[in-house]
Amino acid sequence: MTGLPIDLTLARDSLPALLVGLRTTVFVVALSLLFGLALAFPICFARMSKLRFPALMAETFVVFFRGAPVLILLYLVYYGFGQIDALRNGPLWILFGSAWGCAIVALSLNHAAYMTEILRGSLLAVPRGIVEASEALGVSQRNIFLHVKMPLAIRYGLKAYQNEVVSFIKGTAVVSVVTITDLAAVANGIFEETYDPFTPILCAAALYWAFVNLVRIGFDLWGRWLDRHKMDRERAPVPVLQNVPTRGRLLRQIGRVRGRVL
Amino acid sequence: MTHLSLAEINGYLRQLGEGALITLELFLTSFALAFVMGVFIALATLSRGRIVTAAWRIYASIFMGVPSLLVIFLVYYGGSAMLIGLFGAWGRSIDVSPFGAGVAALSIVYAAYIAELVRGAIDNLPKGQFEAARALALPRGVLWGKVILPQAMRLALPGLVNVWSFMLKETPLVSLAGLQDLVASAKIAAGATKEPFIFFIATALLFIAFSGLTLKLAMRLEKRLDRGQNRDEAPASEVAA
Amino acid sequence: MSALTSMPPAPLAVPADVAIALTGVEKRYGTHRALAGIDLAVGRGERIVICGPSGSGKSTLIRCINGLERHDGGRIVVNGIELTSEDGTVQDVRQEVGMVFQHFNLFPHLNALENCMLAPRLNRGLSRAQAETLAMKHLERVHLADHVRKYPGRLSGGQQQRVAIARALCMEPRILLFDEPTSALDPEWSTRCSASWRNWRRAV
Ligand SMILES: Nc1ncnc2c1ncn2[C@@H]1O[C@H](COP(=O)(O)OP(=O)(O)OP(=O)(O)O)[C@@H](O)[C@H]1O
Ligand SMILES: [Mg+2]
Repeated sequence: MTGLPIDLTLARDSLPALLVGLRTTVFVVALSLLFGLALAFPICFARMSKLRFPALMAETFVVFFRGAPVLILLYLVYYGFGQIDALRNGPLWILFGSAWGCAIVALSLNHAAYMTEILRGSLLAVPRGIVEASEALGVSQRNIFLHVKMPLAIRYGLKAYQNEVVSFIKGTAVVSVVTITDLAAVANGIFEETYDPFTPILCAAALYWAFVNLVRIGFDLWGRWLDRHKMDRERAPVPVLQNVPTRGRLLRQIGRVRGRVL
Repeated sequence: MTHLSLAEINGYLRQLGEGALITLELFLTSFALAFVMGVFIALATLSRGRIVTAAWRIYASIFMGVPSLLVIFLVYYGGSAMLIGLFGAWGRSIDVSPFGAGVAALSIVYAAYIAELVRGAIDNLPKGQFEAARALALPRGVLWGKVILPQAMRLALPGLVNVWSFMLKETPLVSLAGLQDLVASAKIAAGATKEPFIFFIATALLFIAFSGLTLKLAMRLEKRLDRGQNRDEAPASEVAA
Repeated sequence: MSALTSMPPAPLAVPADVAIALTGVEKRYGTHRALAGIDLAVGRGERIVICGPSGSGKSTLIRCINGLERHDGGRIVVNGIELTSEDGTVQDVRQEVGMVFQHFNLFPHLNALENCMLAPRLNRGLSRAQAETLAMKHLERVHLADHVRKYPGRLSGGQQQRVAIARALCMEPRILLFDEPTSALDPEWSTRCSASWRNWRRAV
């Protein structure tokens, strides 16, 4: 056998269907990233709050939704909330009544849990002195957050955010278990029709690879733009986040980090 | 509320237990394989020529840029074809099971991550370590086995812990290739009993407990390794939360 | 136990011409008393310098005056406003008090000009153009007109400190607190600075 037997005709014929699947994947990813990030802010504030109860609730949320495999979260929302009769007539049915709603809920909660920790780590990395300088200038807490803390936190957390987004995208390949025909599901379907074990899966893999690397390049450009315009690498190195849990590809930095990079 | 008989509950619990054992077995086997492969790849690709480095880059880029689920499908669906292609008639006699496909896929993917980690760690060892060993005229085997690798492993440990917990969360994917693991059993039990919350939350908590427990152990191991070492270089456990 | 007791005894009531009045101010960190019964009165237009060995509490004193640290005992009155535990009073005091930090604490993501423009824009609602004129005025005063587009990481220590001074002046405070104002400046600049502070109408 020379190389992997890719059936070029099949590849060409199935490309349109695969692209439709890719579009679904992009939608799922975009929506969950959006809702997940939006959720992460209040949860992060609760987690960093001095009040015992909100902090504990937020921590529990993070431990559960970060620790549970995405597959189980999907099952839990789809078969769990989706089957509660009491919800059937309530407003929440818009969410839990459809496969899309369930998928987005499960994925957003998972992403929010990771983002809470990334956000927290980045905010904690902002030097105290810089916050104090803003306070001494009489800037309000709200403006300090918007104009000083967040811009710096974005710079500190960008790498971790990139890692999270990249592995989140790959993780969404399981949404087909709740009947959403994303890219992986389309490829699987073509396999079941044609019994060609390589062509559809490899084509889908190539599309995932392109998507993931496009996102990665986008993040790299964003980071370089932030760096070039706003910061000097030599004199003001971006602190490498410690204790920030990311999944995926944090590992290049590992030698420099020397800390736990959970 | 519950309309289950004790015998039924017992049955489901036993099924869950068996599934948990399969998941554990799958995870540990894959991790061990990935670790061995990762270290081997790291050593084989470090400070080699351009071609080896380029080949490594491609391998890493592919397996870090593609969902593990697809790799699992590929190995499972295409495994027999590949074996026949590679070994001819002898390959035909090997049956690709979901378990075997899962182990192969997960270890191939995570070997890339582990190799990246180990390479980074070795790169970051002080140059003096190599020079001192060379000055002592240590043979190559001793240099790598007794001097470089132990230190590199210490540096790579936090990252390895990270890979460990992330890989654990991806093992349930193999159930989609038909493996009767913990998650598959939970799904069956949840469907049959109409108690999805109990079974899925319990399963999730099992995962969380296992990863939490092993994390504690890893932190203890880190402390152990740091004892009497690295006085000037802040040990990693200091920043561990 | 180190304390600052070099100042003349403070009046109990606070007359109108006193900008800063401290009576019996205490600050503890755990069991360590960083400030032990400080009495201090600074008149309007007066410039004073507080000296003391390292760790004697100079920075702590200054930080208490604009509410970055809560004092544990005694009273602090700044420009007629007493610093209490209410958040509002701290904010009022800070509008009147500018501060230059020992370690400058410039905003690393903003260039020199933007560092100076941030507070006037956010606190006083100046337009971009107004804030820029104001910031340029003060940056020119510290001879940094050529470096306004540079980010703090690219500036030398002395230049950073001058940006920090300009940033504080841009809020046009009635009171200025300097923590080690010339630590990063060369002798020539130190003299020049002290000369320019002499011209600054109200300073502490
Ligand atoms: N946040 C803190 N927690 C505990 N102790 C503190 C804290 N801040 C200051 N101290 C202690 O209070 C004392 C006074 O500190 P401060 O920074 O005011 O000294 P200083 O006079 O400004 O010294 P230097 O000239 O070195 O800047 C020191 O002993 C210091 O260790
Ligand atoms: Mg000081």
